[in-house]
Order: sequence, then C-alpha cells, then structure tokens
Amino acid sequence: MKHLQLLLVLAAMLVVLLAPAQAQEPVTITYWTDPALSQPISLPQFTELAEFENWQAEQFMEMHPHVTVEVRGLDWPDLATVVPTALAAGDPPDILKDYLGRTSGYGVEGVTVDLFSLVPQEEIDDLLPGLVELYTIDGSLHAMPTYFWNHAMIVNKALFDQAGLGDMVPVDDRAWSMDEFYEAATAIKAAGIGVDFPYTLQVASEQGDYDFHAFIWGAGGEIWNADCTTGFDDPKTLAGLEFVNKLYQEGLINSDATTAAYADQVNNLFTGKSAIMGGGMGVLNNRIGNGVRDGDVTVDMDPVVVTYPHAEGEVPGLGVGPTGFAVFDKGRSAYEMEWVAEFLLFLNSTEAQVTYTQNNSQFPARASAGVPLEDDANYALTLSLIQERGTENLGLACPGFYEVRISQPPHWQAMFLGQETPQQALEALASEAEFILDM
Amino acid sequence: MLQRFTTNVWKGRWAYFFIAPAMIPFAIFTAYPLVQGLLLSFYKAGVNRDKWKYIGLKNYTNLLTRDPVFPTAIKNTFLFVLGVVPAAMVICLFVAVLIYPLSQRKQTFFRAAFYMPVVSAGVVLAMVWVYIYSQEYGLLNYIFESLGLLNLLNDGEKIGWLAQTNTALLSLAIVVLSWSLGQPLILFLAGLGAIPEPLYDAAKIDGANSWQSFWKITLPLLRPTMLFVLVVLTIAVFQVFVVVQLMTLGGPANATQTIVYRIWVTGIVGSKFGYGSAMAVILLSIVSVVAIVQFKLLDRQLT
Repeated sequence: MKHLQLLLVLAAMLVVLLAPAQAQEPVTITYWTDPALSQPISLPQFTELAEFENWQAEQFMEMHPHVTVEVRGLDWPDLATVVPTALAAGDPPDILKDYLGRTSGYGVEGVTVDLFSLVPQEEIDDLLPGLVELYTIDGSLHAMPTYFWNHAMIVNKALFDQAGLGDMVPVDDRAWSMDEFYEAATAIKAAGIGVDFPYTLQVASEQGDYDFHAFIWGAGGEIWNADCTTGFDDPKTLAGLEFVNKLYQEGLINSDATTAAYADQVNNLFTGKSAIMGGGMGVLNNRIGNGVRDGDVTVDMDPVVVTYPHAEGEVPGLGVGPTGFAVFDKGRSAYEMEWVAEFLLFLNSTEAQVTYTQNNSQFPARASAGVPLEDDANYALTLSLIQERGTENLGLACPGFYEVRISQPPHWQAMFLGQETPQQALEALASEAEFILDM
Repeated sequence: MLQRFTTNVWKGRWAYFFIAPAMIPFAIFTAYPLVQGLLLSFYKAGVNRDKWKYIGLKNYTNLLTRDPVFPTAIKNTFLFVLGVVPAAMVICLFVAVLIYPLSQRKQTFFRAAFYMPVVSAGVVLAMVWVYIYSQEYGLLNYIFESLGLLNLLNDGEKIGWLAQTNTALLSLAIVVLSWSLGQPLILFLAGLGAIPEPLYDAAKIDGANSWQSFWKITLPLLRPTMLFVLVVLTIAVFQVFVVVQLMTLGGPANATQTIVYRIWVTGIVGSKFGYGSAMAVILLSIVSVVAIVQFKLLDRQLT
C-alpha cells in the first residue's frame, strides 16, 4: 500500500513536471505582411518595410519566450508572386496579411485554414458582420479581417479657391453630378493657374483601377455583379466608360495615364498639375499629410473629400476594401496551431487594430475598436458617407477576381489611345472575362 | 543487354566520374524542372497541389484558339527577334571591324564601353531609358525638338515613346539592342583575332581592296563565330522580359506583350502554373525550331 502511494505521488509529480514542459515546447511561426503601413503617422520610428510588424512580433516573443516569430515584409508586386509560388512549393507562411482580393483566391483554392474552427466565437462576434460575410467562402472564414480602406475623390480646394472657382467644389453634400464635375474640371483647366490635367489617373497597371471604376459606379454601372458575373455588358457601365473617355480625350485627365505610375499621380497633385485624384483616408492623411509635412507639396493644399461624380438619379456607394490575416494549412500539430491562433489574435486584437488604423488612417474591422481617429473631421465624414451611401461591390471575393482585374488596363489604354471605342473595350473584356472564368 | 550496359558504364566510369560535377546540377536544376514543366503543362494547376487536375491538351488548345493576348505576345516576340538580332549582328560586326585595327588600349576602351550595359543592373538602365523616353522631360524629345524633328513627325507635339502603340515596341527594341551589343562584340573581336594575318597580306598582293578582303576573307572565316552569336542572341531575345516588366508592363494596349512576360503574368502572378507551363513549352518549341533552322542554314555554308 505504501509502495502504491509512493508510486502515485511520483506519477503525479511527473505529470506536474511534464505538463508545463510540453506547453513550453518551442514553436516557430512565420508571418508575412504587406507594406500597407509604409508611412505611419504617430510611429515615425518605423520607416522600413515590416518594422512595425517586427516590433509587434518582438512584443509577442517577450510574452511567450518559447515562440519564435519570423517576420517577412513583402512589397505589393511580391505579394502577388512570392506567396503563390510558396504555396505551390508547399512552403507558405503560417500567417499572411494581405487584402481580400488576393486572400479570397487562396480561400477559393482551399489552402487557408477555416478560422471559424480556430478563432473563439466571441472574437468573431466582435468583427463587423458585413466583413465576416465577405470573408466567408463556402462556409469557411478564409481570413480574419483587420481593417478596411475607402476610396473617394480628393480635391485640392486651394487651387479652386485660387482660381476663384471654390464654389464649384461640393463641400456641402460632398456629391457632384457628372455635368457639375465636368464643368469644374473644364473651368480649373481654363483658369490658367497651371492645372494642366484636373484629374490625375493611371491605367498602366491594375493598381489604379478604383480611380477608374468609380466613374463607372457613378453612372450606375458595375464591373462585378452581386452574383460574381461581370457587368461589362451593362449599358450603364458603357455610359460611365464613355464619360471617363471623354475626360481623357478632352485633356481633363493626364495624357500619360497609359504609362503613368502611382508616384506620377501623386506628383501631379503635389505640384498642382492636377487638382483632383482618387484615394481614401490613407492617401489623405499619410500620403498628402506627410507630403505637406516633408515639403514635397509645392502648391497650396486644402484637400477635401467628395464622392465621385454620379449620373442623374444614381447614388453611388464608396469603394471599400478590407485587409485580413489568412492562416495557411501547413499540417501543423494542434499544439502549434494553438500558438498560431494566439499570435493571430495578438496581431488582430482591439489594441493592435486601434494602433494600426490610427497610423494608416483606415477603419478597424472590430466593433470594439470604435472610431480610432474620431477627432479627424475627414475620417468622421468618410465614415458617415459610407453609412449614408453604402459601398460598391468590388468583386474582391469573386473567383477569377485578380485575373479579370489585370485583363482590364490594356483595354482602358486602347480606348484612351483611340484604338478601341468604349463599346469595343467592353465587348473585348466581356469575352476575356468569360474565358478567364471558364478556365 | 543490361549486362552490356553495366559493362559499358563500368568501362567509362572515370569519364562519368569527371562529368558528374557538371551533369548532376544540370540534371537537378535544368533537366528535372524542364520535364516537370512539360508534365505540368497538361494539368490545371493552381496554388493548391491537392487540386491539380490532368486536363490533357486543353491548356494548349486554349492558348492557341481562345487566349486573346497570347497570339499578340507571339507576334511581338518575333518582331523583337527580327528587329534586334539582325541589327545587333550588323552593328557588332561593323564596330568590331572598325576597332580591331586600333591599339590594344583603344580596343579595351571600346570593349568596356559596349560591355558596360551587360554588367550593369537592368533596373538602373531601365530607369535611365524611361527618363530618355519620357514624354514630358525626356532627353529624346528634347533632342528631337532641338533638331526640329518634332514638327516633322508629330506636328510639334512631344511624343510619348512608351505611351503610343506604334512607338512602344520599337522603343523597347532599341533598349534591348543597346543591352545586347557587348557580348557579340567581344566574340567578334576574338573571332577577328583568330583570322591568320597572312591571308590579308596575300589578298593585298593579289590586288584585293579592303571591301574585297572583308567579303572574301573576314566574313567567311567569321562564320562559326557568327553562327554562335546568332543562336545565342536569338535565344536571349526570345526571352525578353525585364524591359517589358520594368518599362511598360506589356502596354500600352498589349503593344509590348511578349511570351515570357505572359508566362510571368499568367503563370506566376495569376497562379495558373499549368497554363504558364504550356506557354513555356510553346516558347521552348519555337526557340528550338528556330535554332535548328539557323544551325542547318549556317552549318551548310560552313562545310
């Protein structure tokens, strides 16, 4: 009996000793991140790609010394190439932060972990329901949304004021019709204050497409329908396209739009060659705000947020796109997945979302994060515009989204160069989209 | 049969041993991926390997009958090759013949000058060329304006060299040409050095002028070098990619799409690995046929 007691005590001691030892088994987590936080506002010490994310990882590793987090920052072009090849090679990261347009493709392919089964329900309940719906593919939460950006028009009102045309900027209701926009653009160009191309745009790559699509939405047209078919055959899409083509042909859009880069667009705005460009709060606060602070803006700057011009009777919504954390299925053990989930929740905690969205001027995906920039009038205004007018369907979660996206610029270019009519461009795109979606 | 094979292998064991350092990496890094690429071209293959599906020749039929951009990419690639390769051959031969009689020091200077783009970073060179071609601030438009050529060509308007479909491909071809001169020039100079001097002396005694010496001695004896340069250059230009990626992204309006750029966009960026592999196999077939034809034609003249 005594021996048995002794044995039981020893066994209990062993269990006690071994249990924490097992919990402390080292785990290495790989985390790849996008470059969205390239110009943080209140964290100026983080100037390099992924510095902020490395700082986050260090904090996590301090709390959990047995966990090693390897952070890799990827530029936008790399996100589209490095991640798919890593996936095909069977060596993806554990966690990837990227925007929905790309992670949805991974979700459709079935290489992401269903976060409904990994993340506690109360965490999911804290996310905005619309975003959870958007991120749910075939019943699985393919990634965990962290923030969303918006897309609107940013008008440098200072230039309109300088030309005596300040009244033409719709500061009251933030909306203008296509005719009003056209008149304002024509007037500022004719004013002779150096605004050569009132609206600055790039269609050299797909990166500028929301600046372009917004005119189509303004006309009531669609690129993607709600059922994930394309809207290239919609007469309203044609009307929007004809309007934007008219702007280009009449010199109201920069003539180098077919080859310009994003930096050229920003430069046009900063130097006063253009008075209007597309963008959201990130462009407004980070790009323009930092540009003014750093002396890169060479003209008076009074940026005003307005919605894109609309056709009579149309009330277009705003372009809104979320970014989230996808977890890839690497055949990890349950124990390792526990720590991956722990790190995921750390990255996407309420505090992290507040810090992050304050610094890149975006909108948090968690209800508990509230309104991180509540003192910023434009931030509040943008939120109210989103609430009032709703959002446009960007098709980000549609199968074939990215391929259809990159098939568009050549046709916008051909249209600007007079080689295709808007009608022909849309017909060609409809046919290409059919081919892509059929493959 | 097996015994004969093993006996032969055993007999040549030292030969196999000595070529192994070259053959093993070749097998792993060239032959294996090549075969894998070929096999992959018969699959519908995305980022999820578990979902890869054998689809026979469908990638090929899609490419050749339905793909709206691939035929343009093939056409543009051929235009690149037809424009750049003969021009590079003629320029290099001309420059080589011009600088060969110069002193060693002068020759070295020219060699270095022409070879510089080969060893320079493509990104930097592309940026310089983007500046040269810039519509607003470009050097080329400045020169054309100074010479009054803009009035003649474009009613005085600055030309968007990379922004117009009728000039973009030519503009890129000039960039590729400028990058392609270094190596052939070095090879031609080496080839010229291998031609025995007494042949020229004999020709001179026979009353041949420089032109006749060039046609009757230099050119025939340079043919092996020319064949090598032609084949290597053709293969290289068929794979034109960097300038497209850095300067035009295949635009405007697909005017500068090339096969390798399509492989990149579709196969890698679009994650359609099987479809991209089918494009690569088609490119490989085209390059192989062209190289074989070049060998046959020039080889016949050599023998």
